[in-house]
Amino acid sequence: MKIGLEIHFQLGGNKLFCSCSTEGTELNESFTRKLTPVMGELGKLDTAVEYETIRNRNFLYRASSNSCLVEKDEEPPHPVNPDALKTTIAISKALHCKVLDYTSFMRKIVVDGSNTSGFQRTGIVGMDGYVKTSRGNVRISTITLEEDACRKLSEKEGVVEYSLDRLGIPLIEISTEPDIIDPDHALETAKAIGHYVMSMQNFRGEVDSIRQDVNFSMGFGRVEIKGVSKLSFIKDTIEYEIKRQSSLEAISRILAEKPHEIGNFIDITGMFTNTDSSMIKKSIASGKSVMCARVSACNGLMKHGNYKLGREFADVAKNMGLGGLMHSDEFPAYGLSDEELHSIYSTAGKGDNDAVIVVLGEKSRIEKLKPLLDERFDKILKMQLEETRSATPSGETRYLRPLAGKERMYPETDIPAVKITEAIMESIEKLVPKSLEETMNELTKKFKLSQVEAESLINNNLLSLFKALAGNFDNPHILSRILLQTIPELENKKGKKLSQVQMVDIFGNQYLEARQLPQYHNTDSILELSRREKWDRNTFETALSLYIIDNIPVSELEKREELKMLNDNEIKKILDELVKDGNVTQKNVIPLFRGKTKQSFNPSDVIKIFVTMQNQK
Amino acid sequence: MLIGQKIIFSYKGQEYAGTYISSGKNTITVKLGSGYNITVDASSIEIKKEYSMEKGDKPGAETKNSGCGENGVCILTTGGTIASSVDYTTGAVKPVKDISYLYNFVNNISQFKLYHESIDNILSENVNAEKWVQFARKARDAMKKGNSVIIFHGTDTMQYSASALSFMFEEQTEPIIFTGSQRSSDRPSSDAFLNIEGSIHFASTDMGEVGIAMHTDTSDDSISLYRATRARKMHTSSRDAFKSISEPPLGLYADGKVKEIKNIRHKSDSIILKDRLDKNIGLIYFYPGMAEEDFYNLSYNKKAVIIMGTGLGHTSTGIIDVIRKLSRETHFFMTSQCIYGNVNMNVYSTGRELIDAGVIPLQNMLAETAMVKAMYLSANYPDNFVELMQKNLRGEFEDTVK
Repeated sequence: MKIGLEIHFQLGGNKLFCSCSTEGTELNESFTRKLTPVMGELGKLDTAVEYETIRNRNFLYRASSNSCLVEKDEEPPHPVNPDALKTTIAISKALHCKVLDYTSFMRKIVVDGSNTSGFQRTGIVGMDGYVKTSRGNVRISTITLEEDACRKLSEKEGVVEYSLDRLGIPLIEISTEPDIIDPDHALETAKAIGHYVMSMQNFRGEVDSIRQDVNFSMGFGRVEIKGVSKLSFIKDTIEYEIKRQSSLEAISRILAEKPHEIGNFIDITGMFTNTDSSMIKKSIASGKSVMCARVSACNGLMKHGNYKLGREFADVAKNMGLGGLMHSDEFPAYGLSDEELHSIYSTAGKGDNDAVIVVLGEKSRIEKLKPLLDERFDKILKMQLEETRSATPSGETRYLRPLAGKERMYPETDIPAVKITEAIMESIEKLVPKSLEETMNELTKKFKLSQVEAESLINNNLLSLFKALAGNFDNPHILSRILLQTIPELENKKGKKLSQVQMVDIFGNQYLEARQLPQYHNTDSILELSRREKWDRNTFETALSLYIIDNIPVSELEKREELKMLNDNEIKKILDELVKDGNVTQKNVIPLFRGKTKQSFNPSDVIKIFVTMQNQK
Repeated sequence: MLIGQKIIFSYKGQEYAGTYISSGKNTITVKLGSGYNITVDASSIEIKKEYSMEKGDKPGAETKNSGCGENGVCILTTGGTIASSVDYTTGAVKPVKDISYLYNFVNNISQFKLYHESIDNILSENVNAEKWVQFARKARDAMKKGNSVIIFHGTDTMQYSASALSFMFEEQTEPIIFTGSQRSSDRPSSDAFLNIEGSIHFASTDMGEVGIAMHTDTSDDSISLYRATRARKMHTSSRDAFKSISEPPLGLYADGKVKEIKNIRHKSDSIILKDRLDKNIGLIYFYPGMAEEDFYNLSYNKKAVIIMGTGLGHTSTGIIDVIRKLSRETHFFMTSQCIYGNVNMNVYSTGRELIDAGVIPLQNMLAETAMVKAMYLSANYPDNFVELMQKNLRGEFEDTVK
């Protein structure tokens, strides 16, 4: 078994080839484009590009507040974002890579519409490094700096809708050699690599900021699985793929001795004029056809136990924009009557050992499907499974497109090669991230955090924020508690993650600084209020709750009774009253005290003053 | 080493296999197996082995100029982005001679008989009057064989070339459509494919003048046709850079057909080409503080000078004195750097003084169009030059167009 990883990390701040922010909202403005396949540098058409041509889709793009003519492909790219480049060099150094003398950007042709230009700009920064793991070094083949693609919003009727907000966000891609031993090791490797990027100040740190591709082979060709969204899914995804390929191997063995083929598609739309199947009725009403074909010798292999040949075919149909592919192993389903099934089977010429597939959609599209199904069937029988697949949120994989080759790369002529000068190399020395071990040491020794606290800060991508804010707190534990407990708890209670604006309201410009974003905050933050008013931990937490749960604006917090700290005189006054009321002891003084005031106080101060008063008596 | 040659080299202590792409001043660029090019200092790399070139390693060879046949659409390529692709030796965009690959990628043109002739290989900033004459003669030859004409041209100076041909052809038997692209045709997002598609359809209408066909807006859904003499490139890089100034477009191509076409001159029965141009014409952009000496030097001994004045058509007082001195030898015409709107030299005293000094206002004619028109008139109608400059010949005056 061979496993390699390609991990993508987004950087925050500005986009890679223009000065738009990486953060933005969608706008109503939209435009449509088509992409035309073109040849690569050596004059050949890439197979993945050719495949996309057959799909012939239209693309609709929604502009966003963080997009300009560069994202619209209406202007050449601006010079590369120097911060993103420096970060990539720093990470290359940390992962023991050779940093190239020049960064040359290439155009990687991608005609699924996810880039308005029809290509992704990408350049190698570092090569040939390694990352240490408990089971030996995993070699790093390349570290590239590239632009992220558009975010897909929807796809229907041959039109794919994209948002421009994500397009152009700097993306660091770290690719390993296939040195990973098993799914557990893949997870460990991803974590080890992730640590370096996540300790960088300009790591973006949003939900979708890390995406993993898994390269996997168990002897039947390389499968590239795109877009594993969470670390924990790496394992599930590899395990799913092992199961899928093993089952296909079993199918290919069963079929080896039998004659097998997919018959021609036959139009059976006329059969369903009075059908009870609402799905078929709806499809015919919208002008689509129903067609069926015999798959000889495959009865029971389409969907039975581990056998899922039907899904292999359905993936191909789905990519062609065809709603669905039904097959005889799942019949009678979809509201088909016995009579209808009988005529489908006899029209297709189904024998006992044969399966039948039924497809709904435009006739012209279904006719293009046949050669693609033949190709897929042939690949499975020969067990040549190399292709690009996508990871699903449930840890499975789906066919995406043929594996793209080198033919889709050609130089980005609008950006001259960037010389990595000695001055640049010197300036990044202080940026080079520390290893996980060193970071843990720093957190536990310098900030005196517990092992658990330190790990949580790192795993939740709070390291750079913690380090930036720690100076504001006498006790770093309070900050780690606020970041790791108070805020997540309040977010849970509210049922919503805090927005960037809210984080800035809480921590002020220091938050923006820590995230390397432009600083704009001119009014008080909760953190500044807290320092001025000398709040204790409880009061700070009360303020956060008022702000997050009760939506009290920061400017009004200052006036709130419950946030005003009692001074010694005020405490003495309340204690005097309590003593007058009688029955007050050192044990019950705090609850009684709390009953007398809405304001904040430090319980240890109250006790101290109470004891002094008692002693004076 | 040759481009495309496979090599083995060592770099920073490690060996790699790759394909040689190019060398810079002190650098070398190699394509790795992954398709990525890397550029490194030439001194830091050691070539360990050079493989001999295999068949098929060479980048595609150029095919021959096919020339124009009869009764079809003749595409004349002159260079520019639309007929450009990546030059792998320099990494820059360079013109290509063979456009046959475009035919496979343009939709909805199978019903047309297409010919292609490469008549030049020039970036549009290098186009000049001699080239206009050459383009016009090639277009005449194509029309003589019953072909309509499409000229692929760099967008930067397309409006000058199109206007020049518009004046030079007093009568024409077929449409002549200029088109170009803002994104080179070696990129999947190129606007070239739809621009060509629209141009071919416009070239099959009964239009008897010269037009420019380019994207209507940023979307890949329609192509607008503009009158050559009213068109202007109004954006450095966007697909919809070309606009028709103060006049609606003449036609629209969308959903696979020409949707509308109006206000055009129709085809003639014969071709009249006046293929002489007077190069001794000046175009001066006036700016505040412009030295009189500079204006004098730019105007001296010119047959005519088109001034792009401020606002309604003004220059500084000092320049008026220069014009007064030179206007016995040189004709001065006024256009506006505002682009939109008419010149009106009666509103302010400066305007009246300029008229008094001999300047002739050109209403709303575009300055670039006026310059080309002057080149045509001066060479062919020297006796009626000033009179014809003020007469609408090819729709260059917007409000008198018909």
